[in-house]
Amino acid sequence: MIDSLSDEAGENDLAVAWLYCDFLAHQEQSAPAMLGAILKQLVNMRGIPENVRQTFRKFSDRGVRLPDIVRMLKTTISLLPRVYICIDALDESTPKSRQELLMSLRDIVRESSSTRVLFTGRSHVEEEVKRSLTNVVTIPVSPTEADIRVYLDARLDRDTEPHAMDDDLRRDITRIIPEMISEV
Amino acid sequence: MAENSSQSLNIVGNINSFNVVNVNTVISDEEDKIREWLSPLKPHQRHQGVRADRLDGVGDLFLETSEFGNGVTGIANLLSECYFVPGAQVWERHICGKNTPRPEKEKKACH
Repeated sequence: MIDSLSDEAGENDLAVAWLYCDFLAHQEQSAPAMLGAILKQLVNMRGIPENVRQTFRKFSDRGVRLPDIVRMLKTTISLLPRVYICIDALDESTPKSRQELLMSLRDIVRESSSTRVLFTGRSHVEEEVKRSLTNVVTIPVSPTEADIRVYLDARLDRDTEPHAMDDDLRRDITRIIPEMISEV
Repeated sequence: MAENSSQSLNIVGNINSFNVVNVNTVISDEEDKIREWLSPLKPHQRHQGVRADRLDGVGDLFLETSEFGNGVTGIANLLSECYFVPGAQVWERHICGKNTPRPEKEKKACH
């Protein structure tokens, strides 16, 4: 999705920023750090706006805070024609960070009608997203059997210990895993 | 630190036009510091890793058949403000063997 958007970014005059939430990076992934990462990508595209420079010069001796980041993001986004923000695995963020992130994005989207936010995540965070943002469209997705087979074949072909595999095991893998996936 | 940066910018910038390169270096130095200050996270690096693991063609059908590629709006012209794709990363982890802990809330919901 990110690559498809990035491919179209030039032709369609849009800026794309993304973020991968991670269970293993809770400490680093505070809401200011996550939104800061989005801002960092946006300023890389058109240069660093003056208000971001001024905020840095004023507060560089301390860590960046959430209200600062939200303010800077709003200003930066207002300078861009269209902005797409993709956030992967939202459920892997902590509840506190997630709440702050969603509230901040709500404020940002309210002020910028040309901003789009796309989330992926386990279904239990869907309600949180819907409570925080308006006009949320849910797009159910499930892997096609063809995708699973392509993926499995490629993984098995790259097996670093092929001698541990025989035809029966390979057959079982390609039969059982697609069944398991369909039950997810 | 910020004051120091702007002072050095002024000092170098006031010398003469032969020092344009130095001015640019100072500005670039400040820009690097700003990026670092904004966030320690590096989403581009993470994306490179994800992209390296992705196989050509896998997932394309989703973009072609869903709302993203319906031929009317397209992925670059989404109409709604917000989109949520439930479970998109779950199956990928399943077949990649990247087992991340499932939240208690979700575990209970499954029983």
